[in-house]
Amino acid sequence: MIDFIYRNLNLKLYKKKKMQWFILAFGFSLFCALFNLSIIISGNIFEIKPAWVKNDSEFATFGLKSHDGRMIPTTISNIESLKRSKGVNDVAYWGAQQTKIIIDTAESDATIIYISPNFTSLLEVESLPNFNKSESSSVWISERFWRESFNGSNVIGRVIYLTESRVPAVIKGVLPVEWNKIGIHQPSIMTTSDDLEKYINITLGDEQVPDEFVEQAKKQLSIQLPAFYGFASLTKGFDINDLNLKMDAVFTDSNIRLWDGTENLSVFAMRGINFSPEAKNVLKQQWFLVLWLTLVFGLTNILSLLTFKFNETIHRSSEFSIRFAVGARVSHLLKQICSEHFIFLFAVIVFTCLISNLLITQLVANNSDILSVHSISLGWNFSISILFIFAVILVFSSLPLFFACKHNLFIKAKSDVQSKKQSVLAKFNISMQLFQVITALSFCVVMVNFHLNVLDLSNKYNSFYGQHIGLNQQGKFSPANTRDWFAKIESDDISVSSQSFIQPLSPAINFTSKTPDNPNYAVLNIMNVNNNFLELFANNYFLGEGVDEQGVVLNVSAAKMLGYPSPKDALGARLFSDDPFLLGFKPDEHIKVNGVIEDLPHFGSVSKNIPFVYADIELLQQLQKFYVYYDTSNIETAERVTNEL
Amino acid sequence: MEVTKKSINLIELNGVSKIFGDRKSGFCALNKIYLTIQNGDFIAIQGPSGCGKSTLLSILGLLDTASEGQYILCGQRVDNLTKYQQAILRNKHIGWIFQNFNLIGDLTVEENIKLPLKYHDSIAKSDYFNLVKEALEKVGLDDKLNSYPTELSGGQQQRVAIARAIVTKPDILIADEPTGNLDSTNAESVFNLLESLNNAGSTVLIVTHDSHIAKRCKRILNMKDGCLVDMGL
Repeated sequence: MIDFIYRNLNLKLYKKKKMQWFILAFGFSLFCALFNLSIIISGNIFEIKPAWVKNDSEFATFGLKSHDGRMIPTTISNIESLKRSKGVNDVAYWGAQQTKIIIDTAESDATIIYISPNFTSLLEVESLPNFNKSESSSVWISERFWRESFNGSNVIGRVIYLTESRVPAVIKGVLPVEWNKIGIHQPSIMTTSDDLEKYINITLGDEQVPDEFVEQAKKQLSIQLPAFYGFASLTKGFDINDLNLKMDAVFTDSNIRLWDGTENLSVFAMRGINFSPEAKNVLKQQWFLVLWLTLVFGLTNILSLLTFKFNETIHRSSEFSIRFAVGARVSHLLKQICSEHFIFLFAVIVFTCLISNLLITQLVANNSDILSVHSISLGWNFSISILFIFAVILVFSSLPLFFACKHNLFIKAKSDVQSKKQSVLAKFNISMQLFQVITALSFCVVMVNFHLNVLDLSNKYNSFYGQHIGLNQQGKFSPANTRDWFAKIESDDISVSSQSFIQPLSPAINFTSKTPDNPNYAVLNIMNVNNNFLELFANNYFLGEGVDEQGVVLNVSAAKMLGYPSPKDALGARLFSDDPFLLGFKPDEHIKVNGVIEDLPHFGSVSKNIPFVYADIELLQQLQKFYVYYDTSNIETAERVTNEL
Repeated sequence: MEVTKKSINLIELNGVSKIFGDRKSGFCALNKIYLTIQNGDFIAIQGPSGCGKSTLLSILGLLDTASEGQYILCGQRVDNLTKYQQAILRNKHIGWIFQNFNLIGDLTVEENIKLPLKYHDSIAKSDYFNLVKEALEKVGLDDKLNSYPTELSGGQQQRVAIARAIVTKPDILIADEPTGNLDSTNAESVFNLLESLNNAGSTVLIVTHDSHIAKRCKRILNMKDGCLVDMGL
């Protein structure tokens, strides 16, 4: 089909206008790469069902309905009851708990996920192991936990001890890497719920209780523990409404509710981190901005290509006239144009590969907590975008020729002298290419400004801004001395945070403010910092005291969302959270509000009024990495400290 | 085959007119032309500038279409064909030679001559080289195969253009002022070449202002104001 006989001509065409071709190739590649990036990220921002569930349309999920309408965990007993409901085929469940883990002699806290033995088969989760009854007391560990606690060594068959009672469990394997970040729990260990009773510890003081009674009590407790979410596969012909009708007959607990599909579990079971609604909106705004800029850039690329090709077609009208005169048909000329663009397309593909790879690698490396990019979807996305670009380039390159043929522009063209039209088009093309370059540069400026506008905050940042330093359990800083080390950093006037200041990958958790008459509930972003951090970034407003072992600092938005009329009213208040351990507090521990700080623009310049709760970073025993900031006047100390790392 | 060719009119124009613009108020470049051209003719078309010579040539060479009238080429009516069909016939039956040679500067002599072959449906790729060689030998430039047009003199460029015109062995060669851009020596040489092609059986139709050249043709058509005033019979 395509004749490469004119390879010399091809190269000459490129050589004649190499700068214009380069701008076009680079522009299209950048557009293609940015488009790829936008589409890849969209899954992480807009995904509404757990990534590991193949198809959630045939499932109902259930748990208790909380005060604010969210789904909260229920008991295995309740979930099993649903089996009696007409229309329910089978039920499975999963739940999470904090527990103590002892590896050799080292103790640490971890999250353990319990899944019912039929969980993987019911939800067709291919990436999870099947738990057989014969494999009791066996656990699977997360890839992150395996790396951090076992340094990636062979762990199969090793025994670890769970709970205060040191119940032995044999490691059967390591979970796939995508299970590192499931919901807010980020589990370290997964096991079957059949083993739950083994990990329940019953102490009744000094009284002697028969073993039989203890076993019975454990069994009862295990099915009455409100820590599980249920999944029901429905019989064909039944939907969620049919089940709702049967609810009252099945459950005695009037609060139990059914939800359609699995999306309500997103907070708990979705890959990634649970953001507060405000933060999620900011992420969406940012995504739309990126997409919008990408599309504008794409449009300028197309216009640039179109004017370039119009100009070139007119410039080559004499050549095309000759081809017509010797018998060429429109199809011949279109083939000719296509074959001439293979070098260009090849360059675009190579550039796209390079830029996409660079952008995606950087993005995933810096946002591994939130982003999950699958190589298969990446491959598909990439192939589709290349095909799209291929079609766009061929269509818009051929269009001028097609129009010229259609309107007999070549028949009488016998002169190489540049016409007035050509001259106008050439100028227009140069303008378009300049516009293309300006758009690309503006794009970069907007994106950089978008994230770094926060630098206006102060000139307190220096070149170490955003640098993170690894901290792992096997390295120099073990959990045991983390606190001492952070205390040393504090005394050296170095600021640290558990997440990056801008675009913090902050989890959000539910808080309740304990005002006597009017309790308020809010989902707030959390971040662990030291007091230097708050002092460094608080330019205008910082009321009360800093973070410590008992208390946190709220920002103004968080105080408002928790129902305090003025920030002053929040001082000394007591908060309660469903997941205090994420901040480093113990379960059921009340959290005191020590201070209130201004809203810091954590999500870049467009983010205002994102509620944040700051807790002491020293409370965290498990921290993969943290971020260091310091006043430029303190650069020598900072460099010394960072060098010590 | 030769007998069949001689037995029919190669070209017949029956009342062909060409009007640019609106039919009522537009410019009439050709006005009811009746013309018959036999196989083996060597015809010169003469006339003052703007009399319609080039328009007539464009219509005869299927680069343009008549506004009215019939055009029969090789026994086939062609004025009502699509552009696609006309392009096929142009490639198959007509060889064009222009005043300014119209070679593509970025292509070598071989590639320029190969162009019509590429657009020909029934010539195998394997024959391209031999046909190009043969055409170049006819015009005496077989040593310039890999040269670029800019490396050749005007006369040589016109010879390459003639080689390109004859490479598909068309029924008729149409030359628009073929010697117009050449000095007298080269003009003589190019005309001799056309003459020899005619002697070998090709039908040649040229537009020329040079009365010496026109006189050497077998037939001279004179045009004035879009009409054929002398059929040269």
